[in-house]
Amino acid sequence: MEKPKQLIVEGKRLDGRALNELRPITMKVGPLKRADGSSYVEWGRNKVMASVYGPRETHPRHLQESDSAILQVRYNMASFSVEERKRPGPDRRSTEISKVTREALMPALFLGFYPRSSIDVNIEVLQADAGTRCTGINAASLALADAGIPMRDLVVAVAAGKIDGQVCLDLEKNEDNFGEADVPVAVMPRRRNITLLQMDGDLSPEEFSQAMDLAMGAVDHLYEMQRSALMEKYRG
Amino acid sequence: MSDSVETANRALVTPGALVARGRYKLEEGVFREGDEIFSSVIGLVDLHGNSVRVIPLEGPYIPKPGDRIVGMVSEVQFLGWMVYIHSPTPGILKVSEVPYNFDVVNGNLEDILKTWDLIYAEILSVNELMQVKLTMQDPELRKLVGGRVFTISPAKVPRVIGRKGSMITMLKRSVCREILVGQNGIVWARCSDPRKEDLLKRILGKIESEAHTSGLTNRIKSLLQEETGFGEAQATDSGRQEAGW
Repeated sequence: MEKPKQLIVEGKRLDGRALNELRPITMKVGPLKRADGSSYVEWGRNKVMASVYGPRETHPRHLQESDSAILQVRYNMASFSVEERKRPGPDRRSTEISKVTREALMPALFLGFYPRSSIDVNIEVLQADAGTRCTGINAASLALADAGIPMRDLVVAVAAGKIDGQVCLDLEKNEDNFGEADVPVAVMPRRRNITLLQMDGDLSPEEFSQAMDLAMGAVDHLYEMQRSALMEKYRG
Repeated sequence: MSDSVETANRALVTPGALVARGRYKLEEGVFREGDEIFSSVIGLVDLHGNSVRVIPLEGPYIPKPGDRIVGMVSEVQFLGWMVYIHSPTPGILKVSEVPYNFDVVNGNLEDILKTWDLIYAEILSVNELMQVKLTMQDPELRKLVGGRVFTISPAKVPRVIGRKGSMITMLKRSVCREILVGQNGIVWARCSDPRKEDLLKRILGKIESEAHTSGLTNRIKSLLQEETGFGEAQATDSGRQEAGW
């Protein structure tokens, strides 16, 4: 893909969105019957499936914590999820994303309720279009709630960034590849506790706080979407 | 700040939802931060007296002393058995907790219980490491022979039992007499006719998928009426025979 001449044309982005607009999002809870909890999230052209198993016995045993459960997160991209076939299996990037996702989810969970057990979260990216770690965290949060695991709050994630010198919300693929910066943020919305904050690229302190404001501004909307997706399962 | 309720009774809430403020007694499914009480699971708010809880709609089975459960022997050990009880940690049944005499020197534990055997047992104790001890020292507790096993979500067990046992009594009268519902979500049933076991499986599936709605017992009752003629014959033995079973 060639770099487009401009990423912002007459105040609109290439896909027609305003600078502070999210891509269209759909969330579904409970698509997998075998898992204890599951969810499927479409975020623009991202398609992510998450499943939760547990709390169950920890294997291997030496990973057990005697006073709390452990959280194991596996983020994986399907080989067909990107334009060029991705070599299957864990790599540097997915290991990192698994780690940060785990740390983004952990503060929300009451792990002390289940000593010696493990809670396993699998995040499967079926189609990727920039922002899969945020989509994955949203999906994992829904799947954990669906599994009935006690949580302090849901976890909402969204990215902000900078393209053509302007700070904007929720970058899509071209904007991520050819833009200047990308800032994924995960938040527990009730107390606005930030559980993930990364930055790829450069932002000035002013731009950074602008980006944070944009991301935090989208949190309530996403929180409401997650809650209604969870309730939808039981409203029938 | 004065005590106040922030949601309607029986409202559906998600993790992190504000349920109440003030000096309520907390039961399952809620936690306190300062003065505020929040839900920790997806479930239905239940306020009674001075207590507040959220009845979970999903979730694992957490063993509690006194619970009667259906379990499966997964391992025969030196002086006891490991039992799979559908919870995060397995149960341990010691040979001193089974109602049989056992010769420690010459006896063979497998003469009492073997791997894959099903048992109906009671949780004796759970410690802070979630090590679960089981007992079978009660006339009702026993090894289960034959029959079929169904697994349901442990959060739905109260609906299968019903208020004061109304649902399970109805099922026992109309489908088959030998049904045991473990608190851990494992249901064992031994019926004279495999078709009855199939029917039971369908009913359990219906209870599970409609557990959060009201009037469930009546809907199950009319389903049973269609399938077995239950209710018309008031579930006498002769009534069951007339229904073809």
